[in-house]
Amino acid sequence: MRVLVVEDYLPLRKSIMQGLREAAFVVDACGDGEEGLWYATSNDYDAVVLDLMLPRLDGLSVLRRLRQAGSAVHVLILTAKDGLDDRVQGINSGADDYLVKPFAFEELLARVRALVRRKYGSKSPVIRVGDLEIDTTARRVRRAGRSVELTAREYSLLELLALRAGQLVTRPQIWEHLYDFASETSSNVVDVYVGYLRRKLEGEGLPRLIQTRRGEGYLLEAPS
Amino acid sequence: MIRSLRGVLLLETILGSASVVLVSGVVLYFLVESVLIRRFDRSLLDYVIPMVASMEQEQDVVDLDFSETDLREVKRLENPAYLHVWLDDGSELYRSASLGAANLEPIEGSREAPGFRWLTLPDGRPGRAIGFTFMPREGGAKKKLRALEAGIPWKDSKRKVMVAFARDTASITAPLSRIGLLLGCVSVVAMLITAGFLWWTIRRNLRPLSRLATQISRLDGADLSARLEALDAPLEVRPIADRMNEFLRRLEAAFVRERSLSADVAHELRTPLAGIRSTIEVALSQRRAAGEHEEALRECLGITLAMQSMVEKLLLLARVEAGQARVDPRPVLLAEQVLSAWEMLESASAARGLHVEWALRPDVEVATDPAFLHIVLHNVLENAVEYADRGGTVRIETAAGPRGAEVLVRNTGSKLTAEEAQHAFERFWRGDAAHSSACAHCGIGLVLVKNIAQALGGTVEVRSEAGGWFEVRLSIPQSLPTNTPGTPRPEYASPPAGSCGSPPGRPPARG
Repeated sequence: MRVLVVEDYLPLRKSIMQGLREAAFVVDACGDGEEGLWYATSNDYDAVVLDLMLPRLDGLSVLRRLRQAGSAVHVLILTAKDGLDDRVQGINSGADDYLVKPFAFEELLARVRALVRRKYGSKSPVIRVGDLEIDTTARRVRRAGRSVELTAREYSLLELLALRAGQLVTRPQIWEHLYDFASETSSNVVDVYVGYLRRKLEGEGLPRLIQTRRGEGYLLEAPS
Repeated sequence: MIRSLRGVLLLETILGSASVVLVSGVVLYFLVESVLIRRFDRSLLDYVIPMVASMEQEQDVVDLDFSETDLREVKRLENPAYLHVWLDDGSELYRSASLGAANLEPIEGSREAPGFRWLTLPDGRPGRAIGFTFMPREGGAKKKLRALEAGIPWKDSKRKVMVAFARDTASITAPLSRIGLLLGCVSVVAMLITAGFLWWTIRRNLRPLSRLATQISRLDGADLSARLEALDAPLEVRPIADRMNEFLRRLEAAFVRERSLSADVAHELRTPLAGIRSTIEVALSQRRAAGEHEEALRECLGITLAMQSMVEKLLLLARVEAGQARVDPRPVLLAEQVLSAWEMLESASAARGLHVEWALRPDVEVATDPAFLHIVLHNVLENAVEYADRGGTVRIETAAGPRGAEVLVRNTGSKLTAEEAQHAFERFWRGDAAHSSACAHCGIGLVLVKNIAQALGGTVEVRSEAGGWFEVRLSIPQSLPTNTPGTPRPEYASPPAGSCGSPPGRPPARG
């Protein structure tokens, strides 16, 4: 899942990036409003963590411009302003959630996950597709009652496919959700990771979960 | 003793007007009395004169020739008057029957200036008597003429007669007591009316005052937006309300300022706190190599030092603003102070690749507090080093200007327009939020500089040109004014060393 963090205080930005990455999110981060707006409009993020007091363009303006441009991205406002008016104004400007600094990192993580779930129309933190069960909170995957160990990137890929189960997910979409701007990877890396996933999930004679649509992308579906 | 203004006003005004009424009543009484007595005396004289005129003497024999009309009053049975006439040798010429066995006393006086006397009449009533001594006219003028013609010697008769006449004074006392009664009644009624009117008018005119008191008693610290209304109040009271309102306005402004300041402080501290908490929580979220933990710790230490520096600056600022900073002036060389303040910034300046230009006058001396001057210089220089563009220039000058010693610190790469630079002295100023970290010279460093400089009797000005120079001009008087405003100097001795000794931390945190 790909998340954008717009925060101008460097130590905080660094720790949020690290924490989200370690929680298997793909993270882009920047320190000013204009850059943040550019990032948010040029990628399909699953969630945006947005500070309000930003250089060059403040967070509320970023939010309003995003909404004016028709973006439906889920935005969590992260700010030191804790007044009722500030919170109401934030939500009224199109934010989905509001978190006041200083915060527990776990709470930030939980809220970001909830926003991601909401994007895919799911409310339960556990995704079930056939005999596949993904606990997005604990990041545990079970297939046919047996636990499957996945790397962070494999997990991200599976979660994306599972959240959009039954729908075709194109290769560029997968790529966009798995890699941040800093990544320099070839486009066939997606195919490589799908291969890894299949080996771990579909071994030992279990029915296929991930379908390949040649030239288009992949699709996760409960075996019929 | 707490006295009611209304009661005191009422009592004293009533006492005042009562004494006026009393005095004028007494004066009027005696005026009337004297008029009545004068009229009475005239009536006594008018009674006696015709009788006196009718007396004649001839050959030392005085002839009384009183008419019945004249004697009617002394002869009447009820409330008679009394007449007593003597010859100068004391022999009695006439006594009215009303005297009985009693006598009247002869009274000194002449016809022109008769004597009067208060007395008790023989029948016991109060009375007043007139009396005088006179010489009755010569009666036998023809006889004398004939005697002289006949050559018979004629001796002129020169006997004197004393007359006393007394009458009761009912015509004085009766009207006088009526007038006294009337005056008393009128006075009492007038006093009652006056008191009532005073009570009413004092109450009515003091009502704005009690309304004001009610309004003031309703004021409380929670809502300072209330104002006193005194539109109907008299001229004397209105200034009180105006002053109170002015005071309330200032108090409210101060409260608003304090509230926004504490909000700002909370905000400024929350963001670095969030940084520390988030860094620690993320570090603890899983097993890590020691190196990663060390990095997290260094990160936290850096944030902590920056926070410490800000908290110390805030504390110092609070002390300076509260006038608790004790200024201890000593003669110091300005150039030396500048160089000593620069020492700690040298490495930071080198790290940013800054080119430093010096133009220090070695001979400029100031008599000022070196510890405070150090903080001021450190903050100004730190500001320049921090916000000059990488590889830019910092220029440091000292001079003896018209307003005292001057320090001019400039740096290239200013991001502020001339107008925005004027906000540099506002605590935590950000212009609009969009300026947060582009607003280089905000936070509290320059606010501290300005406040301390003022406590030292100096001034600070900033000038800026977006993309060009940012300039801070500090003027310090060569000697400290004896009565430095805002420095009543109680026990606080010298600023904490940490406030300028901390490493050049990151710019004030924002979020």
